[in-house]
Amino acid sequence: MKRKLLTCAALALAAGSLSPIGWTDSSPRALKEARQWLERMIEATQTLNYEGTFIYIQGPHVESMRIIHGSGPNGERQRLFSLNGPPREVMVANNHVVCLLPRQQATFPGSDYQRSPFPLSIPRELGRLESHYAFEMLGEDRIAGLDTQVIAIKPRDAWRFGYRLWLDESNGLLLRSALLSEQGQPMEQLMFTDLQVKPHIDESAFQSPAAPPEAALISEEPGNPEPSSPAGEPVAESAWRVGPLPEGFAKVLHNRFTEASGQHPTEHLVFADGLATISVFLEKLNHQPPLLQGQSRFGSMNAFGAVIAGHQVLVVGEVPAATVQRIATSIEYAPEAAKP
Amino acid sequence: MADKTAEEILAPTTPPVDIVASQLSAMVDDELADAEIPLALRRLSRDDDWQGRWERYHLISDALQSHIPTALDTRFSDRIHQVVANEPLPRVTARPLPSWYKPVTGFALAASVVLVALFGLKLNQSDATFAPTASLAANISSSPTMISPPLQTVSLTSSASDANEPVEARLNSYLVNHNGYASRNSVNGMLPYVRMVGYQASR
Repeated sequence: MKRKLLTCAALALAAGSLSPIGWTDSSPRALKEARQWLERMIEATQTLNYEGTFIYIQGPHVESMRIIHGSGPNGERQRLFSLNGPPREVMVANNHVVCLLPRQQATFPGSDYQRSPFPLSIPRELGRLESHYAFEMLGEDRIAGLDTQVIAIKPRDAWRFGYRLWLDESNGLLLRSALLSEQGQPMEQLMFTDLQVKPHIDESAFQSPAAPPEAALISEEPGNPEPSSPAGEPVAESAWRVGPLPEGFAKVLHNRFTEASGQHPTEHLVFADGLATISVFLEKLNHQPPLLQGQSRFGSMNAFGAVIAGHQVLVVGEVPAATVQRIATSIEYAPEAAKP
Repeated sequence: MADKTAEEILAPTTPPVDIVASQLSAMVDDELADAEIPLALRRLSRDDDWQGRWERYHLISDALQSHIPTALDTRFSDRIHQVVANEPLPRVTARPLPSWYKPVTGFALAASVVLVALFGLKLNQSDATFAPTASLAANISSSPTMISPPLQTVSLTSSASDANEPVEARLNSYLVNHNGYASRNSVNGMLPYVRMVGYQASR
C-alpha cells in the first residue's frame, strides 16, 4: 500500500499535478508572514521529534528515503537513509556527520567546527536573504494528508536558483520543497508521503544496522576526537585570490588540508548567501591529470573545473552554471601576494 | 487550478499556424528577415507537417515561375529520411558515465572524456579505518573506506597512494564535503544531506 502511495506521489510530482489552492501575495504583510513561516520552519526542523518517508526527484531519478529526527538533552540527532537501491545513509549528531555511502564511509566530527555567520534562526539574518530573494505567499496546499502554506522564494538576480517550500500549517515543518531552474522549472523536488511528529523517539531508532559500532560511538560522544584524521587548519594567508563574488555571498570558511597520501594539499573555501552554498577546492595536482575541466553537473549541483598554476580548481554549488563558472574564472594564483 | 511548483509561463510556446505559414512562404521567396531564419529552420527540421508545406510551397513557387519538372518525386524527402535512419550509429566504446553525471555545455565533451578515464579507475581502497560490520559488508558494493575529516576538511585516510589514486573518491568526497557544509549554511539544512544520499543513487 505504502509503495503504491509512493508511486502515485512520484507520478504526481513528475507531472506537476499537485495543486495548491491558488492565490499569490507579495505585499509587505505577506513578506512579514513568509519570514515568520521560515523562522518557524527552522525552529521546527531543529527542535521537533519526527519520523517520516519522502520521495526525492532529481532529473530522471526518483528515490524514496526515510528520516528520523530527534532533539533532546543530548542535542540534535538525525538519521536519513535510502529505501531503494544500494544502502546509503547519513547520520547527524550535533556537529558530527557520518555518511555511509556505497564505496566509502565519511565522518565529519565537528569538534572544532566554527559556526557560520548565518545563524539563520535570527530574524536579522533572514532579512539579509530579502536583499537577494523575493518572498511570496502562494496559498495553501495539502501534502501527506496535512495542510500546508506554500512560500515562493524568487532570486532577484541570475546568480542563484529559486525555491518553493510547503510548510505544515500546524508546526512549520517542511513537507515539500522544489529547487527551480533559471526558467522557473523544478530541477529537484522532495515531498513527504507521511510524517509523524512524536513526543519522544526511541534511541534505537537512531542506530543504523549498517553502521560499524565505532561510528555509533563517535556520534554519541561529540567530544571524542577523531584519532587518525588529518585535521584541516584555517588559512590565514593564501596565494589564491577569488574575484568579486555575486552580491550576497559571504565567505564562511577557508581551510587547508592534506589528504593521507600527502600528494594533494588542498585549500577549501565555502561561500554562502543563506540559501545557496558554493565550495571552492584548490588542489595541487603534482603533474597528475585534473579531476575536471570545464562545466559539469552533479545532480542538482553545478560544477566548473579549471587548471591554474598546476592546481585543480573546482567550484561546486547548488547555483546556476554561470555562477560557478564566474567564480572559477575569477580565481588567481599570486604566491608573491601571500608573503608577509 | 494551476500547480505552483514551477513559475508560470505566460508567453505562448507555439506560434499561430498562419504566422509560421507566412514565415515559411517568405523563406521560400527569400524574403524572410535574417533574424527569423534560424528559428524557422529549427522548426522546419523537426516538424513533418512544415516539411510537407516547404515542399508544396516550393512546388507552387516553381509552378508560378514555370519551372515544373516533367516528373515530380514527392517521396524524395522520405527517401532521404530512410537513408539517414538506416545509417549505422557510431559504436560506443567508452565506458558509460555514471548516470548522475550530466555534462552540460561548452566543455562538456572534453569534460566527459576526462571523466570516462577517471571514473574508469578501479578504486583501491581496502584499509578501512573502521572495520565494517557484517551487515555493512554484505550491503555495500565494495570495501568501505573511512574518510574521516573534521568538518573543515576532505581527506582520505585510505592507504591507497599508489598509481591507482582514488580519483573518483577524491571528487566524490569533495561533493560530500560540500554538502556537509551546505547543510550548516542553508535555511533548508536537510536538503544537502538528502543530496548526499541522492546523488549516489545510480552509482
